[in-house]
Amino acid sequence: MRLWGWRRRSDAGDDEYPEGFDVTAVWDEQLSAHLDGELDDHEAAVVDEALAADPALEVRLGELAAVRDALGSLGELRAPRPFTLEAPPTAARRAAGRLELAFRMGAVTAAVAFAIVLTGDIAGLGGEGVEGWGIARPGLGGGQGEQASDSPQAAPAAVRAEATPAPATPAAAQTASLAPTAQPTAVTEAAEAAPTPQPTVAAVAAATAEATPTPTAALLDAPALPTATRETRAAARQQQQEAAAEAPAAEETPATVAGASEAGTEAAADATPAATEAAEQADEADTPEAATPAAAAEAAPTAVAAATPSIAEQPAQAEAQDGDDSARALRRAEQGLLVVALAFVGLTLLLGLWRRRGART
Amino acid sequence: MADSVPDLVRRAQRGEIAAFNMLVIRHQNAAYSLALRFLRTREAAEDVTQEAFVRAWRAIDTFRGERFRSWLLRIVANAARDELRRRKRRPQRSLDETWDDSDMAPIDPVEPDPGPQERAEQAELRGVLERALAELPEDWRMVVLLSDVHGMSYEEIADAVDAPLGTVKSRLSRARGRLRQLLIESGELPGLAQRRKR
Repeated sequence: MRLWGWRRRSDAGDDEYPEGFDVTAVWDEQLSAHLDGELDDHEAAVVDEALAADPALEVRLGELAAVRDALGSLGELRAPRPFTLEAPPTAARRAAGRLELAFRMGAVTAAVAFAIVLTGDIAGLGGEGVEGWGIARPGLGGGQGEQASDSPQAAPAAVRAEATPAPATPAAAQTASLAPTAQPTAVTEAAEAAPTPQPTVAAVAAATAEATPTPTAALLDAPALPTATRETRAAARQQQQEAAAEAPAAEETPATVAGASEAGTEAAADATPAATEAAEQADEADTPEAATPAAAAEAAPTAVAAATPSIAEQPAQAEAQDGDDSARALRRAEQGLLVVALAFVGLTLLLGLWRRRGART
Repeated sequence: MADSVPDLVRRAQRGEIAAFNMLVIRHQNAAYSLALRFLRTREAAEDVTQEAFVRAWRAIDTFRGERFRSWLLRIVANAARDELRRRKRRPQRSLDETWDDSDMAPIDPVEPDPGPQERAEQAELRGVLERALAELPEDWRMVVLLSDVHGMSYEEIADAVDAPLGTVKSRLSRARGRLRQLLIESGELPGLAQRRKR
């Protein structure tokens, strides 16, 4: 029992307290608990006995009870606003969360794919530039069109044209047109051997050019010759000149296509420098001097070849067309991926805003 | 037919937010009153009340059949003490500086007094009591609020303030004694005692 005040008062007497000390204060804890009915029977009996013996305690108990009642009368205050809760994350909101995550992943994936495709395009894997994006790829011939390449960067373009496995060079095309008995495979081989000069075939082509009216040379300057690049044609023309100079025997003996191929192969090693030279002179062939009679004569085979598509031209055209198609498809893929990435980003932002707005409310 | 508190609690425990919100509406005045009288700023009291209801919703599964009101006020008391500790760690403004009688003045009591004369007297007494409460140490204030304003038992208070029963008794008696003294000084106590005798 914690009625220490009672014991102290009983054992020591009132003389123990300092002057002015409210003796009844030591009873406050018991009186307070007594008010609240929190004393057990024994404690309550002791307090009741003290209250009966000391009227001051009775007064103090009354005052404490008044304080307690006054506090009780304060009552509750009205809440300034409802504190109800929003519905916790429902199934729809949780699904929205998962959807937002999926959108984020989609945006990232599309962006990465776009970056890969664009990088490949710029690096030339698509065989074309990025004109569709307004980006000129220097040194690669300007993409799908026969764009003028009078700049010094045209030389590397010519080298690249030489390295192309199956360029539809006029020489090869002319060879095929002059040898109707040639099999397609032989034509393909001839086309593949294009970077190397084929003296006999070139001689035949030159002979044909002499017999061909020069007005056809105007076709050389026609802007749209879809199957061969200008650099390739210039290289071929140079090869024809070199071959005509170095192989007069072949000129005298119109060989069969097979023989011409063999001769061309044999002469390939010797003519390699000439081919390189032809590449270097590629731009020169594109100058206005090409309109001279000599240039017209040189251009004749090309004009004929362009005017009458041969067996050799068809696969070349098909390949060029394939290149154009792949470039267009690449660009479409790039644009599509960009649109998809942007769409995913937009959806992610919208979903995020919706979810955060719901969380705030 | 109005839903009983136990029914609402059971439905809330099954995840019915609407049932829990009915409990909120029934107890939000009590929760806000405790928070405001303890913290003495309206803004903090609102934050603490909302926080307490969020905590209650999250912990509704742990409710095991005691008085819901006491259980909720215990959460409010804990949230209010947390807020007080946080403000002491990062004091922006002193609580005493922010205390203003106008914080209480616009708030209407739930049961307004009937007569104008009595209403005025009780308004004056309320003001004295509110200021007296504000002068109590925080531990005492919380205990006397839970006991005398909200009617919680000593055991419930001991549970709410995480203190032994004896400590609760001691704090309560000291708080009442201090309030008695303050009311004597303000001249309100004699009238209160006489009114009580009547």
